[in-house]
Amino acid sequence: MNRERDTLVVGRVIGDVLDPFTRTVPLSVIYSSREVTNGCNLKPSAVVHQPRVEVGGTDHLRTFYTLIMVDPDAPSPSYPNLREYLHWLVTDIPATTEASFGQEIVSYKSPSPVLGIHRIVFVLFQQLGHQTVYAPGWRQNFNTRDFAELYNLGSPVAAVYFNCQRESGTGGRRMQA
Amino acid sequence: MEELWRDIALSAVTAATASTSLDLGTSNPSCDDASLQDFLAGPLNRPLVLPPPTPLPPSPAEGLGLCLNSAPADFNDTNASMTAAAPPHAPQFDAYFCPANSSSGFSSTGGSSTRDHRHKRMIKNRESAARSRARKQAYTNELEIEVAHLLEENAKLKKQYEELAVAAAQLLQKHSPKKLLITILRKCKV
Repeated sequence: MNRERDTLVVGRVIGDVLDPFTRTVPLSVIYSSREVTNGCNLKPSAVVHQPRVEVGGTDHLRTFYTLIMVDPDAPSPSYPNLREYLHWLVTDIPATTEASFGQEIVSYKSPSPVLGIHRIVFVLFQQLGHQTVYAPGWRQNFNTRDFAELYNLGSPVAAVYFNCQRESGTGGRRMQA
Repeated sequence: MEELWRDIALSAVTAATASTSLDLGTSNPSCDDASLQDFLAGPLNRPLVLPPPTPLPPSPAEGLGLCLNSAPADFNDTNASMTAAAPPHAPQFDAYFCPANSSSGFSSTGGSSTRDHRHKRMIKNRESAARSRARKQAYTNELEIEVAHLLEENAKLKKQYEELAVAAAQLLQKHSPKKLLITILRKCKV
């Protein structure tokens, strides 16, 4: 059996949101000193405030990144007709710094899923230079692929995702064992 | 959509989808899962869902089905387990071989929509199960990567520690402890 080593593929983030890419820049997303690892579970109460997003890279004077945060499972994973729901959009993040040093185009809206278990995806793109980016008219039905093409962002340089369900969720199980 | 499926390296899926065309007409906007589940549901797209293979071996089972109307005495020569098993399975085989009859045994007008509902429910449940499995696999995958990474780091650190211990021991042999201390303190001030 061909064992897939990339968690982004296994979790279908590559497929539903992104095309296959190579990670070239370190990306750390930290909610109250808890770092997000792919597929980890976070409750809405843990992600109310925007996380600290540390970005790697080498040249902070010349290299800038765009950060996109989307929910591809909105409003519910079994009927995601609002895919992708845009939670946050920050551009002009200088390399080796954090998202707070960039330009917030779309403000952080904390995830609050009602139905099902949603994947919340962070994607990092490298910009060609300083970029004038226009905010979309609404958050729902955002398309990361199209956005990247529109602004010539190329392939992502990093991505990470976590799972989020409603505060009182049972983790997908109907009955207590 | 089909291209997406080919890219995703799920071997079971790629093997399955390669052998069949995916234009089963998905009405559900949750595209990828729907097309896979439609494919899975395809062969089972009839009123009755056949349960997994019965404990009886296939050839005697067919023989039983074909000879339902013949006298049970015919099977007296076979071993006891088969004759004991034959009667309980007979009504089930009846249903297997006449699916149309049993479905019409239910209400005539509500029958088809109930079937559709059940069918849709089954597809949704399958998708949900697939997502759940993917979540679980992704978590396990991530843990394995983490473990491998930590083991590597641990080995590296241990090696570094040993090298440093050796270097320190050598230094202590050569120089007096007092002289070393002065040198270190001087370096720290800078």
